[in-house]
Formats: sequence, structure tokens, C-alpha cells
Amino acid sequence: MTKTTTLYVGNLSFYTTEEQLYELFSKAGEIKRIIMGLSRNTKTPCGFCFVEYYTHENALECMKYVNGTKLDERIIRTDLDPGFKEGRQFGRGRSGGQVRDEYRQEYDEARGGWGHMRAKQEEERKRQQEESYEAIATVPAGAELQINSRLGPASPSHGGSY
Amino acid sequence: MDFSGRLGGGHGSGARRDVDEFGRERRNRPHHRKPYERPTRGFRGGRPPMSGRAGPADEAKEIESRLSSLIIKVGDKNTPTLQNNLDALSVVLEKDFTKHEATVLKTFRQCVLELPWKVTVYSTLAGLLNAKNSETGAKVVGLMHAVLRRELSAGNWGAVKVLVRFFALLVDANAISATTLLAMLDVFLKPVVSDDGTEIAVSAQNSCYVFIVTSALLWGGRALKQHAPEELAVRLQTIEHYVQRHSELNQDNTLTAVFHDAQPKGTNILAYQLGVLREVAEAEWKIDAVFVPNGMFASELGQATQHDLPTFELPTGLRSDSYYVPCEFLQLVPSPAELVVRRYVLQDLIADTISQLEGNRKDCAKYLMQVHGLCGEDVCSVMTAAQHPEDVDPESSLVFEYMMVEVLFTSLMQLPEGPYREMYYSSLAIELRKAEPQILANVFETAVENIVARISSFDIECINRLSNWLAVYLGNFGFQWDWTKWEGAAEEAENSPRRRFVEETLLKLIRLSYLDRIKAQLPESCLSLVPSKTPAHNFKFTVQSMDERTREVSVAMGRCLKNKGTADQAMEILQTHYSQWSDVDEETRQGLAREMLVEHVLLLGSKTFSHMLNAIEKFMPALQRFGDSPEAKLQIAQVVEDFWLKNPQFCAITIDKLVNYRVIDPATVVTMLFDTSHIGRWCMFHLWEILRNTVNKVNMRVVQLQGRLIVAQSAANAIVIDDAEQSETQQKPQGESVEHVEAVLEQMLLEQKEVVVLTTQRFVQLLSSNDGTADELDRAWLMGRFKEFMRSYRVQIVANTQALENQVFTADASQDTRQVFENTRVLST
Repeated sequence: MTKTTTLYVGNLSFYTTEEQLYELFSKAGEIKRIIMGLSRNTKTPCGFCFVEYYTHENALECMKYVNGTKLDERIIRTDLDPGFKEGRQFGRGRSGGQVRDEYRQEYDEARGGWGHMRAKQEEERKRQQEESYEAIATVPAGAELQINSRLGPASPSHGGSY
Repeated sequence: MDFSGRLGGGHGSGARRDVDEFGRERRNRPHHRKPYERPTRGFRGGRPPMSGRAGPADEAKEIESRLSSLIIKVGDKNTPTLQNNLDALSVVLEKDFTKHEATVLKTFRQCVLELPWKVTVYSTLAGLLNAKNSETGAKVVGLMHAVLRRELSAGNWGAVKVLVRFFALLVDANAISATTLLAMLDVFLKPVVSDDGTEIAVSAQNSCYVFIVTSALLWGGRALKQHAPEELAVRLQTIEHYVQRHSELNQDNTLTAVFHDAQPKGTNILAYQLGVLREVAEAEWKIDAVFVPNGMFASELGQATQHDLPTFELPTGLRSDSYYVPCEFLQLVPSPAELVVRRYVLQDLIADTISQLEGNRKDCAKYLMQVHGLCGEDVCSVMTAAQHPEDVDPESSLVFEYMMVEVLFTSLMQLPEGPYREMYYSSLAIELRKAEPQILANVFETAVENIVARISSFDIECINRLSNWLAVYLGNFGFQWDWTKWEGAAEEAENSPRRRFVEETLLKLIRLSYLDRIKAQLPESCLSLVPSKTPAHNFKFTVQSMDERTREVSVAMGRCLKNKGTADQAMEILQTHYSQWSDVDEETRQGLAREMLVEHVLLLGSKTFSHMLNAIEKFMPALQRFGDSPEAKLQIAQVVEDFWLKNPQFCAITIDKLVNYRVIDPATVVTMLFDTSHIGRWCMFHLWEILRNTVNKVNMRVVQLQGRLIVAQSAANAIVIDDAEQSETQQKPQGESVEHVEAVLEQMLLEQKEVVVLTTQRFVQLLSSNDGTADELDRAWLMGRFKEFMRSYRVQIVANTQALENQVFTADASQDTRQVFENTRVLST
């Protein structure tokens, strides 16, 4: 760790590209390579990456100057890392992404919407909602009349779609 | 990590145990803290926790952390209680000193080094400790002297300056004698004057030393005037002579001037600083910008014992570019002319704070906002959020925020280069604005607009730096900026400084985010300043634009690469196809095949930076085989440039990686950059980004090899000693042989020389010819970049003076290029 040249970078947007990372991180020194963190299942970026510099000093300067600034309007976090090894580019959450996205409760547009668990719950809720609505296949005749009367003289097809 | 343990970092952890509930070592990071685990700082009234576990060791820690916090906080503000606080603190410290010596000394050292604007408070505190107990005083003074020697041998000039100023004030606090201080200053002044006292030697080193001494005299002059007026006069005369000689030599040297509309002073801040010193001397050496508490304790300090300090040596063998280059504070906002001394004193303290707290930008921002704490009420005004920015009149009184931002931009724009990376000043500005969102958003906006209003006389490299700074800064605040103020730029010539600045800043913003995001932020009137389409590649072999047989090769190559074909397979395809082209000669065939290969490899790697690296790595053997002559290498580089014509970022990265893999040489890049096809486009920033990257890379390789040589030499020496001890065992030398590294280094030094000479030559040829530039503005850009190159790499330039004089600066070279060469040599003596 005392001589590492690699940084772990977290809290990225899923849409942040390598080139954006390159632009920002090269401000602390020449970059050797960038490894994007990918979801194990979909092989798409899942919000973290590794940045490797040529020297340890550059990695430290990056910690001093770049850590905690914004990229793609998100505050990014950097940590010194013992070094990248094959396999570490994949998320370790159960759904393939990062563990933190597994349990996240807030909606985060730039990180794929809901966290994985919450996304499943939301999906389930939506399914149930649809089921319970679809169960009422026929709208009671009286109700239809009421709706139409409130909307004024609407076309029959419009009223029927409810 | 050396920067996490800075001031304030370790406080409040008094009663925490060193292992967690699982017996593992605790990692002191906030995000590892469990929700139920409260930081001890939060206990009401600051009392230690009431649990039975708190043993004597914990209590001692608690006391020590409270002592540190008292030392850090004392004198934050110039309040009526300051005298009592200082007195009480010195009593407490004196009483507990023996018990907590290490902590007190450590905190004291940190405070002097990292809170430089409170130097008057800490020198008084040291004086009071000394007056109460001269043994304690001796320890404090001795420690600071050891720190000074250490910082000096490390060449940390910022720290040295702060420490010498502290010692200067210790005379006033009666902790050291005037003769001790004079002896210290004489160490710095010794190299300035020849042994017989007649010659003055001007150099980067001596300017740095004179600057340190002048800074110290500003604060120590009062005591010296009282105790040793004649000796003081002698030192002042030495400084005057130096500054005069320095001014003569730098009279027309505008090589490092940031603004060209002001009086050309060049590097001549020393004259300005001397002027301030003279004014202070005339005012009986009284500095009224900052409160000096020594006076309140005159009778007590008067009875103290003075300490003598041993003398010390200056470091030797440092490169001329490793010294601190004093620079003048930029005037970006008008300020009252009669307050020049106050302004200098405060800005000097601000500059030291920015420099000394570089390790922790958050703390730096926090403390910077407190620097005015020791000022009297009428010295400078501090903005409030309730004020409208236009209600503050910087011409009637000094405005703290403007002074601070001026210092920040001075450091950012320092030429030839500042002590820290440019990015530091972006992230520091971000922290400052986060701390005071309303006030500083306006202050930064005013400062940037005032610079842009003078942009035609702004140094070219500084335009580039400001553009980088602004892009990162805006990227952290939602890209919010009043672009309408610059909409007139769209009407100006393509290469007018303002238009270039705005366009390049927008390009940087697009690199940091994406085109549509930036477009959404721009008013209609500025849309013509950004590209209409997302930057993409420019693949040559699209179906429409080629003949039948070229299409055949291209399709075959495309298929091969897409199906994960190898370098050999690709070479085979090129061979089979082009060998049938009997109507063209071998050289043309090679050129066509080379172009075909490079275009397809680039296309394969055009998706992301990683794809590009993979593609180049995979086809490296083929690329290297095709790049077998300087002309062939140049063709490869030109194909890359053409392919990424609309995406300068990718162009720069690809060129960089090709140099890394030695597919092309640094000299290839230089030749490509100065190609006549770029005439009229010298204003484009990315060309110079590529040049800088390339030269830096060559220089870095030299430094690395020099390091490897030292390792190899010491390893070889160790083996010799081993051999001598046990001559029977035939040990093979491990690691690299010295001869091998020496040979590689020699090769690399030749390459470095080639790049430096070639680049200078191309600059001078273009600047000395009528066809080298398209118009006056084009020439101004090229000239600016020439100056940037010369002063940035002055060490390499001076090392190759002979070659440059013979090959480049001949009679054909234009007068102004030769002037730049002369100025570069003066700069690096």
C-alpha cells in the first residue's frame, strides 16, 4: 500500500465514460490504464473503476486534489488500492452490480434507478398492481356513465379505455 | 497517508480503543464507524466518557488532545480576551510541559508550519513560555531550529520562509538575540556577495534566498533596529545591491510576465518587495495590518533569557529550477494605492497558508477564511452574504475575499511553473466556494471576467491554465455560468484570444461531461462556439470514397479484425492484396498498406480508451514492422491525426500510447505537430497538449533511468564488497548491470537532446519566416507557445546551449526568438 499506483474510484454514474475519467484523472499525472467496473451479469459499467498511474506520487496527488470533486455531477470518492487483479473489475453484489447498489433505498437516475433489492420490490409491486387492475376487466356500466358525464361528451372509444 | 494526519485530523478520538469489537485493528475512517458508535468529541461539555473503562492512559490522552486544541485555537481572532488567553495558555503549558512534552512540541511545530498567518501569536507564545521557564523555551526554540534545518535540506522553501519569519519575530519576543537572527540571515546572504564583498551574483538560488531574508526582515526589522541598527543597515544594503543588479539584468525580460499590459517587470518581484520593506522602515518598522501581541507582554518578555542557536549549512547541488520563484501578486480587482503595504502583508500570509496547507485542501479552505482574524477592524472588509457584490467597493478599502482570490490566481498563473499542480487550485477554489457559496461564486466570477477583459495581453500559457481551471470549477457547480457575457466572442475571428478561450473552455467542459449537456446550458447566441456534432472518428475507408480494389482490401481487413484476427493474419491479407498492384512501385504499396493497417487498427480501438490500448497492443508487431523509418513513423502519426481530426482528446491519447509502445518516436510527434498543414491553426490547444505530453515523457524517462543507474551502481558496489569478503564464491551480479543502464541512459539523453533541439528549431524556423504563420494573431499564438516551451524546459535548453547556438539561433533566426533564448538563459542561472 505504501507504494501503490492504483486508485479505486467509487460513486460514478453508470454513464460516465473512460474518456471522461481520463480527462479528470490525468490532471494528477499520466495515466497508465483505466479499468471500468462491470456488472457481472450484464457486463455494463456499474459505477466504479480502477485508475492506475505510473508513480505513487501521482496517486497521492490524485487523493489530495481529485478525491471528493465532482465528475458527471456526482461527488466521486477515491481510495488507494493494493492494485488491480483480474476478476476485480466485476461487481460483487448478488445481482452482478456493486454491493451498495444491492441495498440502496433511494432512486438514483445515474445509477440505474432503484437499488437491486428495491428494484425487485418495485417490480413486484408494479406486477401486483397490474394484476389487481387487470382483474377488473369490465368496468361497471354506471361508472362509465359517471366518467363520461364528468368529462363531457367524450367519444365512446375514449371512455372505454379506462 | 501523510495528508490524513494533518491538523485537527486526530482529535476527539481520546477514549476510543485501538481494536474493534472483533479484536481487529481499528481503521480510523469515518465510513467504518458503526451507527451505534458515537465519536467522543460529541460528549457534552467535552468531558471524557463516564464509563469505568477510562484508565489513566485515556485521561492523559484526553488532556493532550485538549492541550493541542487550545494551542491550535489560540489567537484565531483579534479579540480583547487574546491577552488573557495567551497568558493562561502559557501558564497551563508551562505547568504540564514535562508531562506532555512530545504532544505540546508536535502541536507547536504543526501550528507554526501550517497556520502561518498566526505567526505573531505563536512567536509571543514561545516568548511567554521562555519567560516563564527558560528550559522550556530552549526546547521550543531548539525544536523549531531542527525543523528549519530539516526543511532546508529537503528544499521546502515555503516552509523555510515561514520558519525564518518565526525566528525573526522571536527576537522581538526576546527568546533569541538579535545577533543570533543576524547570523541566521547571513547564512542565506553569504552566497549573494562574493568573499571580498564587491561582486553580486544573481541567480535563481540567490533570488530565493534574498526573498526569504526580505520576508523575515519585514517582521524582524523592528527588533533589529532597536538592538543592532548598524548591522541591520548592512543587510539592507546587501539586499538593495542585489535587487538593483537583478533589475538591471531583467530589465526587458518579459518571459515570465503574466500580463503584458502592465509595466514589464518580469521576474522582478524583489524590487516590489523591497519597496514595501522601505515603506515599513519609514514607518518605524511598525506593521499595522496584523496584530502583534508581543507588545502586550513587554515587561514579562523583557526578563526572559535569550538563547543562542547553532549555525547551519545551505543545501548544495540543487537544480536551478528547484528553488522558490518569488512572484508578484496579480492585481485583478482595483485596490487603494495607499494601502500597498497592508495588501502585501496580508496577501503574503494568504499565499503561505495556501502553500503550507496544500496537503489538505478542505482544512486549507477553512483556515483561509480565518486569515483576516488577526487584522484590526479597519484593515480590510470582509464580505457578508447579505451584501450585494456591487455594494462592496474595493477601491475604498481592501476586500479580504478579493485579495484571497487574487493570491489563488497568482499561484495558478505562476510562471514558469508553480510549486503545485494546477489541479490543486481548482479543487481549492471548489472547497472555498462550498464553504461560502454565495459570496465566493460572485468573487470568482468577477476575477475571471476581469482577466478575460484583458485577455489579449494575457500570457498564452496562462490562457490555457485559466481554461483548464474554469472547466473543472464549472463542472463542480452544475456548469452554471453567465455565458451571455461572452456571446460577442462568436463574432470575433477564429483565433482571437477571447474566442479561443471560450471555445477551448467549452471543449474541456464537453470532455468532462458530454456535448448535449453543455449545449443545454448555453444560450442560443453561443451555440456556434461548440461543435455541432459529438466528436467522432474520421475513418478513411468508408464505402463511397474508394475504388474497387481498395474496397476489397478494406473489407478483407475489416472482416479479419472483427473476427479477432491476429497481426500475422492482417499482414498476410495486406501482402496478398497489395502484391497484385503491379502498376504502383513498392514504396507506394508499402505506404498504402501502412495506411490501411493503421486505419483499421484505430477503428478497432475507437470505442474506448481500453479498446484502443488493446488494439494497439495486439497489433504492435505489425505496427512496429511498418514503422521502420522516420518517414514511415511520420505517416503513422499523420494517419492517427487524420483519423481523430474531430476528437482531439483521442488524438492526444493515441499519439501518447504509440510513443509509449515505441511505434513512433518523440521526434516523430514533433515533426507531425510542426507540419506546415497546421499553419493558421497554432491557436489550437490540443497541439500543445501533445507537445507537452511528449517532452514530459522523454524527461520522465531520463529521470527514471538516472534512478535506475543509482540503484544498479549501489548494487554493484555491494557486490564488490561482498566479493572482497568472500572472494571464493563467484557471484553473478544480480539486477541490471551498470554498463547496460548507462548505455540506455546515454541513448535516452541523446533522444532528449534531439527533441529539445528539433522543437526549438521548428519554432524558430516558423517564427522567422513570413510563411510560418497565417497572420499576426497566428504568430502571437505561436510565439506564446514558444515562450512556454523555452521557460518550461529551461534546464534542458541551457544544457544544450552549444547545439542550439550552432544549429538554431543563427543569423537567420528572428530577433525576437533570439531574445527569448537570451531571457531563458538569464532565467535559469
